[in-house]
Amino acid sequence: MKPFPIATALSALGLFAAHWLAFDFVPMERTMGAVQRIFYFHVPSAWLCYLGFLMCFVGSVGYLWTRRGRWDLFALASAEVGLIFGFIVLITGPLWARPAWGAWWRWEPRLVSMALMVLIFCAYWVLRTYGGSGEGVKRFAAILGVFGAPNIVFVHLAVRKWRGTHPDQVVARSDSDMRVALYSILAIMLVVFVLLVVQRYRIHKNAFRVRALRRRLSRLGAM
Amino acid sequence: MRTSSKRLGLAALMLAGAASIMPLAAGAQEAEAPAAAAPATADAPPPAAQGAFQVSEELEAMRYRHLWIAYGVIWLFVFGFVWRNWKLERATDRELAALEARIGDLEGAGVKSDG
Repeated sequence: MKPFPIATALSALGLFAAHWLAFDFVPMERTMGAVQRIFYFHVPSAWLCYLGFLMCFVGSVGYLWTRRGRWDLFALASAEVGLIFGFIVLITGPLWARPAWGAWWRWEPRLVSMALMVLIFCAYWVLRTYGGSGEGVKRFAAILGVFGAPNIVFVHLAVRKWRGTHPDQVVARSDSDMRVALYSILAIMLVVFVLLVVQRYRIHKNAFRVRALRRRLSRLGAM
Repeated sequence: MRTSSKRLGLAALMLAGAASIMPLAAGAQEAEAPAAAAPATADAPPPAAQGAFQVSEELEAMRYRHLWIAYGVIWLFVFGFVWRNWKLERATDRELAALEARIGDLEGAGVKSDG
């Protein structure tokens, strides 16, 4: 039996379990009420977004160092999946903020730095998707990945260094049931994240092979 | 196939971008409007300090509404991405198999004619 479909089926089941944890296992938070349950997907999504961009950084450095295509594909696949989780953070955050803070958005350090980091990786994705498959584009994208990922540090430290509205140390101050649910959901989402990166990597690798075969076919046709 | 996939990707990115920017625009409008209209703010005293604090029905309804929308967005993003990947993977696999078969045929024919 192939491991990928089994892991996919297990992660789908895991996602249902994650919803049970977020909606039934944890008690209702007293101050914010039901909307606080966004926390169980918002926070892991932010961490997985960091992880995706960090993996893009590793892949980009690997590519610039070795010039091997597999590093480039790894960086691209990681950035794409990181971007998906980044969008989840940027959309669920304001949906939580409106009832909790009374405003959709506040121009405070954590929110702005996160939005900027996601925009940098949007630029990376647009460059890779519409810039062609030339060596120059790959090199430029790798440099963008190298300079984009260190923003993770700014985003993470923004709450502590430039105190804004966004809360800090929420996980450490949480109830034990809440922490259990959060870390379980993080583990489930991590599996989903890995599967998505593997799938994107395979798609890009096959697309690369398709382009190579087309070139070979055109040469054979010219014979 | 590749072009339509790129268009779909761009449309998805624009949609995601618009969804991310909407709260920014709403935030800018609220900054102009008086803050008194806000149902509960972070600056407001905590519930315990307000004595008999009662969460209004409107705020409670908003909390549930936003919770469902947020989880809807999460499902939409994750499953939309999985569905798009699945379609793309099948299409590239099919194209790869067809190209390999065609090259095999051409090379086979070349070997025969040489022999």
